[in-house]
Amino acid sequence: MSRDHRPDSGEVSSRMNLLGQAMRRRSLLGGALGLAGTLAISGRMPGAVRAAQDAALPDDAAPADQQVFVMVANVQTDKTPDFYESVYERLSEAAFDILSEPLVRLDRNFEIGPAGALEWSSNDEGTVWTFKLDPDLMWSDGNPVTANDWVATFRYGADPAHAWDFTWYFQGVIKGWNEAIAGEIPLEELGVRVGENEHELIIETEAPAPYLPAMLLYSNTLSAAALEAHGPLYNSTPETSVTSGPFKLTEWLIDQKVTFEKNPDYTGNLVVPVEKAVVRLADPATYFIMYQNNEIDYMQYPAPADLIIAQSDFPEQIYSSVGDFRTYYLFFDVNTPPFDQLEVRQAFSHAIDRDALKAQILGPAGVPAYSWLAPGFPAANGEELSSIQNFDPDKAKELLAAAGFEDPGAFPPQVMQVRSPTPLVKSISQAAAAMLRENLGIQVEVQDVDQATFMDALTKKPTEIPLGFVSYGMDYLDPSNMLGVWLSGGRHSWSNEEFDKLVKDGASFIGDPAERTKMFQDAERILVEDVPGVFIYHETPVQLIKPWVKGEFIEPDVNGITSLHWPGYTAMSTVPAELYIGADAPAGRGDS
Amino acid sequence: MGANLSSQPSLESATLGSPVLTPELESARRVSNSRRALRRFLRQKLAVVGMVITLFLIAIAILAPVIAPTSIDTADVMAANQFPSSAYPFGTDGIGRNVLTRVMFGTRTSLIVGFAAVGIACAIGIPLGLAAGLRGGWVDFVVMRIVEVMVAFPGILFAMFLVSVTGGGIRNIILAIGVTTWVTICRLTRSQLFSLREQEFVQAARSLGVPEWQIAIRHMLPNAIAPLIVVITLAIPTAIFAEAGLSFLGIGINEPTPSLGKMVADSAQYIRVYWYLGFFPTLAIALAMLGFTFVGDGLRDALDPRLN
Amino acid sequence: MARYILGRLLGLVFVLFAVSLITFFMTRAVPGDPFAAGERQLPEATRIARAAKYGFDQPLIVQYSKYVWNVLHGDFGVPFQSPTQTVVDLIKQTWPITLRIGALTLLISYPLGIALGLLAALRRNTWVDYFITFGSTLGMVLPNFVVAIWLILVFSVSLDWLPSGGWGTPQHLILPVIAYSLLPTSLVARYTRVSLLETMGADHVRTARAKGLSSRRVMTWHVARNALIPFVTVMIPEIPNILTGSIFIEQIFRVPGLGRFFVTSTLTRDYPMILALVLLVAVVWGITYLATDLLYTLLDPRIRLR
Repeated sequence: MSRDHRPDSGEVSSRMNLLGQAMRRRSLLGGALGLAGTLAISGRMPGAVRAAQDAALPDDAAPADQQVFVMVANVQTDKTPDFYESVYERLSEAAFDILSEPLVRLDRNFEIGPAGALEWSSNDEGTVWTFKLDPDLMWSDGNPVTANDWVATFRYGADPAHAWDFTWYFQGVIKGWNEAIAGEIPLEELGVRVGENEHELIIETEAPAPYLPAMLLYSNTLSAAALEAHGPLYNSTPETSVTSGPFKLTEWLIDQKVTFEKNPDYTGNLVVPVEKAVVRLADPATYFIMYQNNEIDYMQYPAPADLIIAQSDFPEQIYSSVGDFRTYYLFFDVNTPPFDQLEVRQAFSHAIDRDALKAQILGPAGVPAYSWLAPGFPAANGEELSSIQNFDPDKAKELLAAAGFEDPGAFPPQVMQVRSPTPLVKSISQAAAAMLRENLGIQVEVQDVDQATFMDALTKKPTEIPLGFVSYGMDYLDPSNMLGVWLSGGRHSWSNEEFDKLVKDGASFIGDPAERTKMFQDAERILVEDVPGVFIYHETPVQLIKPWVKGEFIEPDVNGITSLHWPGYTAMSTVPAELYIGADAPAGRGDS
Repeated sequence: MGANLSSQPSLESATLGSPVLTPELESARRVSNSRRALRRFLRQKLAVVGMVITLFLIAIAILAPVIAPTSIDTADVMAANQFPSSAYPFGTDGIGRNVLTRVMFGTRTSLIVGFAAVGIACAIGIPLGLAAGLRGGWVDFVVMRIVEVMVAFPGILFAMFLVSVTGGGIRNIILAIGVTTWVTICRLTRSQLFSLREQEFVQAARSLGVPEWQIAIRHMLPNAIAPLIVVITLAIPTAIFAEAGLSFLGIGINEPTPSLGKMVADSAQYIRVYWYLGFFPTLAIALAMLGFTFVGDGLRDALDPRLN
Repeated sequence: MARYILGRLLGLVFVLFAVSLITFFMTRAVPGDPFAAGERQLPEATRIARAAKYGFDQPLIVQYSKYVWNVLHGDFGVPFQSPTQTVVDLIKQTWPITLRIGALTLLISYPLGIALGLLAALRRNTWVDYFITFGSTLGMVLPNFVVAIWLILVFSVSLDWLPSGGWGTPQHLILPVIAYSLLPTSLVARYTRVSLLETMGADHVRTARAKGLSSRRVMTWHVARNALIPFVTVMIPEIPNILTGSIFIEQIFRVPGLGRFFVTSTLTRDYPMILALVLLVAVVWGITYLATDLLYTLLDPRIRLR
């Protein structure tokens, strides 16, 4: 017997169920393709797919030559479009990972569906996973996409000579990963290999890994041939770029713009109406003016003042997204007095009025947080936990007094360090500090710290930040990921054996999903009650989207979200397929 | 020539041929000289206006804790983003702090940073410039190489380094800015001395056996003061903005302590809606700048040995 | 003179050595890892692997020696911010863009500033003078990012005459150059005025006047020449400053130039780029200072460089 897991809903679903899901999904995208995709196991004809895609353009769509979607990305991080080259230096906030297929992808309801792998299954223990690959996928250099490509990609990710910035991700998950990144075993011994034939990929895990498919959202493969011939940055210039994804790279003007055009030979299961995706590279402070000038169709994170202009001039273009279920929080080094006292931490947690922050500062950009997992995230339990860290200034003062600070003036002055804040985070952190001063009568300064210095100080052992303000957003949709941040020896100095056990056991638990959820919820309760962090808000990033960007995303999904949400405009998501450009779009966008 | 120089006692003594001044005579002349300078200063309307502006800002800086409508750390989130009104003459910022209070305390911070940083720059730059200009030769060579090293050196990196070694705080910010802005002052002093040391009155003093350092400080520096004053008045707003840049990187002054530069920098995001957030601090910097400029011009004219 | 210049150039080599040495050690002393921007702590094994990949595992003195050796062979390394290029390529690609804006800025701001300063000095203490003094004060206190935003709002968003940013056509140059010119124009005007007044009061000018030279000739010859010494000292070194760009101008107008790297290189701990920029600045300034010193001797023949 084999099992399939859908960690997003926490249910174990049957193989048939998943296929049914995929079918339904495809029929929404265009019935013809759905049939072509599932029936034509061998010898699917690209021509037929093209026809299906053209037919998919709705009546109110602009003609094909005007199907141009213009995005913007931060000029600071524009090194590569590839996850396995660098996660943190990829084209940000926009189009990345669209030059190949991942093994699985998410739809807008966060359900996992097939992509590079048409189906997958595990052994009974959940430790050996077999992915049956789409045999029709082709690289633009004429090579077929095979298991060898994924093997090469994972080996590259684990290669100590590459020293990838995301090696932690598969630590303790893929068999041999820890040893491989340390150079203790040859890369050939990594638990990723070719199966019975070159269209079968086998991944072995260290422990039962029900969340593995969810993790493999990030598995856009590199081309083994291109990697060999041109090195890992082959996708940074059109000359050496190869694609098996829905787009091909046609232009990369360093620090100015990146242009992707539809890959005419794409045979995957995404139907993409857009013919051309343009990514302008700019400083985030200039996004809003570009948006107003119709130079871009879409942007995220307008500054608070820009949002006010948007609210008065074009309120219908404002969307609240889920982002990456990011929670902003204040944290303590629980080993540094006075934060070693639970009462002090509790006092802090009751002294911050999240509702006022929401009403006066956040607006549509966030919702008050009293716990770690954001609403809508698997195992989220916000309502239940909301009374533990609630706003109660009187209780806060009592707790501070109980901790031995009847005279708040005796409380040592504090400096709250904030990681390279945006204008919004600047306001929130300063307002939170003002509330601590106001409600507790203690002194708190706020210091903005650049990213590199902050992360260095935070992760030093022992940490050099006694009181700080930072955020975390999920990497994949499983509570083990979000809660994992608080494991002993991780980001923070807080350590709790019971919490560790619950999270680790829950992560590899393959029994009843409800029981698994319960384990995570128990863990989160410990976290909230012991207050190593004061949770301030869950981010719901504001997006601005031009009215001519049309598609399914403007209808609420099962979670009630209407936005171009995570994982964004990439091959990891069906969102690119939901989006087309309306006939009302101004012509010539993305040209200059 | 002597007539033109009569207002400058030391020059007078040098050129009129009295080789040695008794200390009493010297101090008597100094007093009358400074009185004359003061009179000349007060004769200029703009200089007086500048003085009034400068004193006004200094008074605000000193009295901020007393006269500000709220305390420095008061933030009423429920009263955020209020436009200027009778309750909040300068409005409130994004978290409900009174902008008038912040401009007052910001003036305090920025004047301290501006004056102190430029003071340090002068304390380093003028002596080194004097030494280089006076001695020339290897002294000049060494000083100028130090200047070239300093000017190439990335200021942000230096500030980060300084803060990582000694911690943040206003003192280190002042030090970081002062230590990186003395270069122009030094080079200007040096260039002035280059041309002055060849002039007749200096040659005359030298031939009379007046010690070199005395010639430099008494005879040459006063003649070099005019362009220096301009550079110094311009260095003050530069220091104010440098502080804003460092605070932006978290190596400056921590909130809730405001500074004018930081307020202007932060307001850039809000320029299109909350214009007053940037307007008032910019106005304060502009006022300070005008004040310094007028005072500087007045001082120059008052101290200049050759102008009447 | 030739010996002096040679001495200075040798001095410059020494400066390059000193500045690269200090910078090298300071970059390593500053907290923050160039490759630890991520949300999670890197596994220890990967940290070690990274150090090995970039040679950071070797003693600093070995690293520095290797760096010097490579630089002497024309290899300045690969910028961490843009690993598809070499440092030399990146500078070759971005500096000309910055230079074009800088050169236009110089061409506008210096003549304009001199004209304004001249006018203010000649009409001293009239409303013309006050107006120019006031205007140049504003030009010095208004940060160029504020000016830039206003220019974009007026000429791009409201009037739609010019692009809000970007690069490629002559129109893209207009707003950045205006915003960038404001400060140097103000500075030049201010120094010109002061230098002129200073020199007009100087005794040798009076002597010239007393000798019966027409005041016009006094102005054009004596005044101009001597007024230029403080002016040259302060304003000539502004030239390389302008020619290396401004992060604010380049970010706000989306100019793909060199200016921003002076800030971002430090922020991202891009060691090869920091060092290359430090060397570049040292060379440019060193040469500018030498030129300035040589100019002194032309302006005042009594000055001898020793």
